[in-house]
Amino acid sequence: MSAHKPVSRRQFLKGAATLAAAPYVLSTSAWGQTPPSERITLGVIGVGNMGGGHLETLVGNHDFQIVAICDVDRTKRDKARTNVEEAYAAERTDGTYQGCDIYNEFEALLARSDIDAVLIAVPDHWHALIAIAACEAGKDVYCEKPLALTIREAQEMVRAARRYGRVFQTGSQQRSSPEFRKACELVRSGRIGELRTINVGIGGPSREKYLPEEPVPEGFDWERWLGPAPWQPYNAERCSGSYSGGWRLIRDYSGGMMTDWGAHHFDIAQWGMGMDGSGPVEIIPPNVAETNTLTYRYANGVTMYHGGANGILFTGTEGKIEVNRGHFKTWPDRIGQEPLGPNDVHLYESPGHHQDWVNCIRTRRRPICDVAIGASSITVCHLGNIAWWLGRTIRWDPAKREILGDEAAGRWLDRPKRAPWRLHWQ
Amino acid sequence: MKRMLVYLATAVLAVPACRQPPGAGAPAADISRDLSSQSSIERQLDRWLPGMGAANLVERERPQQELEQLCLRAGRPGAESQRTWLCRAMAARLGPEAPGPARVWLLRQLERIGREECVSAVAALLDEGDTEIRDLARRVLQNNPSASAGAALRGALDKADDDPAWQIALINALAARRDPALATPLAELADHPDLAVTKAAIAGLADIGTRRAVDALTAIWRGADQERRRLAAAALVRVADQFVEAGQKPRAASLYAMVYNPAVEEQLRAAALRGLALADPAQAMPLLLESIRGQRDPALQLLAVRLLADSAAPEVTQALAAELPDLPPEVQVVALDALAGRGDRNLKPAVIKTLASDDAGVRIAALEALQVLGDVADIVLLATVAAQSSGAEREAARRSLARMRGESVDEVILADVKGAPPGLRAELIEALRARRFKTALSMFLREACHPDENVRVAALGAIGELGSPEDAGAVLGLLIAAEGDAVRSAAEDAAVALCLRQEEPEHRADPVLDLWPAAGARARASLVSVLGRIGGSTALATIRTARNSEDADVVDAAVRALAQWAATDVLADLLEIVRHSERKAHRVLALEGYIRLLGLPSEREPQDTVALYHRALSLAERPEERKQVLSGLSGVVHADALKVARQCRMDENLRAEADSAVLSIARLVGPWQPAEAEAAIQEVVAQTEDEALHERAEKILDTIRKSAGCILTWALSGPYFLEEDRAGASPAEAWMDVYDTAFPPEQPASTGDELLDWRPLKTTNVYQPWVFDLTQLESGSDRCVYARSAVWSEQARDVRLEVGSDDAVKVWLNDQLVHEFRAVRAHEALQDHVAVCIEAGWNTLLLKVVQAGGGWGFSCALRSPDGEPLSGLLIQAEAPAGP
Repeated sequence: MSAHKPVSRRQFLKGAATLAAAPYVLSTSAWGQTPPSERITLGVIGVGNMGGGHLETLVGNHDFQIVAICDVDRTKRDKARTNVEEAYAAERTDGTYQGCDIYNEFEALLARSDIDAVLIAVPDHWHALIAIAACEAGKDVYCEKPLALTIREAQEMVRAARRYGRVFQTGSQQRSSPEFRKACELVRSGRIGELRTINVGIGGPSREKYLPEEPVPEGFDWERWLGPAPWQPYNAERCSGSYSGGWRLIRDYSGGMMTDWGAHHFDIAQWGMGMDGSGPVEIIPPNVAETNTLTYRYANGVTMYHGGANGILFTGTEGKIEVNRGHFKTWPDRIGQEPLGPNDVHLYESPGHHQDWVNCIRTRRRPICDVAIGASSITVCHLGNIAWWLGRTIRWDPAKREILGDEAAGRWLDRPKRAPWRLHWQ
Repeated sequence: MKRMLVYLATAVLAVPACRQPPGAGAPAADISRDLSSQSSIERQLDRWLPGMGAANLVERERPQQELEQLCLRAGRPGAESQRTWLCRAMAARLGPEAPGPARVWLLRQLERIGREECVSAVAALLDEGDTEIRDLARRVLQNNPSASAGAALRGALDKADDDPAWQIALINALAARRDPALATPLAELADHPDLAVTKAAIAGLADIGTRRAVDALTAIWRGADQERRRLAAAALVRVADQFVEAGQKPRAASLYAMVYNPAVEEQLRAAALRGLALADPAQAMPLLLESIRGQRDPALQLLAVRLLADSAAPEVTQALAAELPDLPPEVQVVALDALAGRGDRNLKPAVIKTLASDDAGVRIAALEALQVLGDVADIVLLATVAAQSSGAEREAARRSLARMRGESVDEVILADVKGAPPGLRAELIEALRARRFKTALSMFLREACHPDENVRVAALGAIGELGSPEDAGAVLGLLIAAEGDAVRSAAEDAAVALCLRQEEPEHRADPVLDLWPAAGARARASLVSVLGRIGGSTALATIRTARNSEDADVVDAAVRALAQWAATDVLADLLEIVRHSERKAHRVLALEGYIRLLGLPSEREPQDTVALYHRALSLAERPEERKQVLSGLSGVVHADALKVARQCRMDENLRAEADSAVLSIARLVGPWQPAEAEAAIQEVVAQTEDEALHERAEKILDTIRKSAGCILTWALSGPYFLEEDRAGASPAEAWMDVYDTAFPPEQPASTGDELLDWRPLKTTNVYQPWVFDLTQLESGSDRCVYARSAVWSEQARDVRLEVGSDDAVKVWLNDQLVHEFRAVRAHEALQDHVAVCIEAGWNTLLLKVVQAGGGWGFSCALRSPDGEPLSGLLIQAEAPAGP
């Protein structure tokens, strides 16, 4: 029997630095022997399309206790609280439960010392501000993809997470899917020979939208929804989470499908190349090069094209691998059939994106899609947008994270924020 | 057969000049972008200015986008004169005489390309009464690299005493500029009575990070105000982090050491300790070790372990290893993980010692660590643990063996097999299998004859996984001779795997057939089992022969092989066994197989499938079999299935299953034949008191009612796409060219229908037959299909057309374009609603569904203007011929 005091959940989670990602995967069973006796208390910030989906899943996950919800839409936060409390009530013998508080302002939720972790599923222009504030408040973070609205914001998120030792999972959940991991392992193990090109099948950038003013719905805090973004009159489409035309396609709030889907597919491309933490050196917009498509050149000679794949298509000197959700194909077939050996590349095996976050919260390891990975992947997406919007080739220093020789392009690395918002409040 | 109608772009091909949406960097054709002189720029601006400020948003968009494109071009490297001209011209038009939206747009452009030339004009707006303009001007100056922009912001801050919100805005802008001159005013503002201003000022000092800023923060830190002290401590840690990034580690270390103080809250103290470990490992080491040794507080121990693990100092490794035995189990697990991450093999002895821990988690972590730290000397240890443990511990040991790196690992394992006792021997073979060491195949074949059953099973597994079709004969020989179920099963699995590895399907059964003539009855029974799993015509012929064998075991194996056969070509064989076999066990097996095969996807018409199920029902002797039939029947979309299920309701023993089947079938048939489906559901509901069934029935009825008006039958033409060299300039937007191109189905009837290859569109979603997944028909992007349906109405009427699509869609009603959606999107059933008028008699509905990439599909319905079902409509894929 151990003579040591047991580690309480609160003590365990309130520590500092996370461990660097190890080159192998420690199985969760090592931790399964000493489970914390209490659930991880969770606040969910943003309960729209994505947040609502997370909530539905997490309320059934007994590793968590959802104790707070924040949304600027009163109807949504009320409904979310009802759903959470009804779900918890159903698990209790007396059939009742009250214990999920609701907030309009995320600052009030983050100020609660009894909350261990937050899940952030708000529109992109809010990600960095809330995530950094969460790190500063000592919360572990799951932040929906795309990680940030700008490249500089992403870098600051990495710094904040490291400074305060937070476990920070980026919501690019394809990293937790076996088919994507397998594709990347095969590419990195040389099964298609020398990697030459990658095609990434996603949509284009966001743009300005000209939308008329509409009355702000009762219970909707439009000023808060806009936050650091330039002022615009309310219009339902601006704050709609719909893929058919909401904020995802508007430049003030998002990078469009380039970042929304790029945070998935470019992320896998980076993983397959072994380029986490790095990136391309040259980005050529459509209509400039003979390729007629957005093109990334990497220092290792690999060229990545926007378009031309069902998901991500890796092409090497000896074969091809195409992967997407529910789709895995190799040319020739045998590439995908031969299992990996001990000297092949074995990548981190995540038990599922939420579960990986849970495990890492308990073990303080960096998760499968740690904030630094999310940052380098979203940087690729944003660089593509910048080149596309500017209509000219840009050169990028992935180590210094600077655009070279183009001051005006460099200004697109960040966006001034509407008062009073800033990234750091401490 | 794949249908690819490549449409050659000819005179009818109308590729638009602008291929990209505004704002996506696309040039416009009809407005010039002249940057050749100041005067030409000013002329253009004056022409665009009224439109840029227009109240009408449609009018506003084009000139604003034109200006943006001009600015983006002027901002390119090497165009300094053009940029200056343009910025001067924009700055001169910022006054209040310009319309508000135009001023906003001009400022947003200056935010991206403005420099010295626009500062005075923008700075004047810092006194603007319109707070939106004022804040935008602030942001423009924040981004402006000229020194005068900073001076303008500082000047505004000096005058902002009575407006805390504006002070914060200006502090933020100046701090973002890292303006060193800001340190003194911020130091003063850190004492501001409004805490929000104080917070901004202290955070701003951290942004600046100059010596004066650090002095100011240090002074606050040494002050008496607790909240300000806390803010200053956090700011100092952030400044110190900046020093570390800049390589100024001694400066950083002094700040971290100052903040690492018992008076500081845990979170900040931990951040300071982490920083100190990065900036000055030597200074941090004793603090970390002290935390591990002295406190005996697991949380602090855990923190110290993590920080040590992050440190690059080599001495950390041994220090941590030395502490390992005394750590509590939960911290040991973290420490083992951390030590493995450092990859230092000198740590191995310390790790191996923890394998003796009482705590399973610790033992597992140690085994995992050996995956990295272990070497050939640990092979026997890991294999022994695998042999003697179970569950997660065994898996951890096996995983470490499988992934241990090193050039000689495989050879050492191979050598260790010799002389190893049976349990260890099996694990070593298992390790070579997991490591895919094919060189060991001859050893595996030898070990497949080992006296110990576990060794034989392991060896056969390895052969099955690593062997080639040429090894099949040897394994089949072992199968024939096998004793014991485990070995026989392993041998059969291996034989099947090896035969299936033969690339030519017609030769897969050859190794079995080679042995067949000389095989005795016992051997043949085993061989038939293998044939049953290999499949193919030659295997089937032999199995059929075996059915007539005089040996009961061979016949039994043949019947089992047929019952487990994977394709429907044995239906007749199974039916014959069900009808005529004297052995009840065979009849049962055959009927089970028959029912299973009826459920496989097939080209049979649904009513034929119902007939086959009906026959199975008549042959079923046991209730279980009839229930299996009903279960299969539940997935058939045909009214006959409903009829059979309703008949089964007469049988009291089957009532519950039949009720459920009726509801399931009614749900599938409902959209096609709602009256029949509803009648069947009502019959069930009327005769049961089962609440769950009532609830389910209600949901199904609701679904059926909601499906009224959904169009289920379509004729399809396509896909159509452009030749590669004629497609749009950007492949990423090539789908837009497809969308904009009028392919023959949407042209006036110049092309005969017979050339357009209209064909029925098959249902792709049995539960929502109005939702069509076109990816099941074709793959590839940048293409489109046309879907056509005919709607007959008693009278002309207003209706609501509902359309869903992935991606873009156009809809024509009676040759008139009534709906367009030109964007990439995911399909949501019936997501667009359009008011249209249908005529009396036949109406033609034509959809063009464009595939940009990913998913591809559509849905369509006609309803009343308020979304209710419509009566009096007849919908079919083609209108009847004739007038």
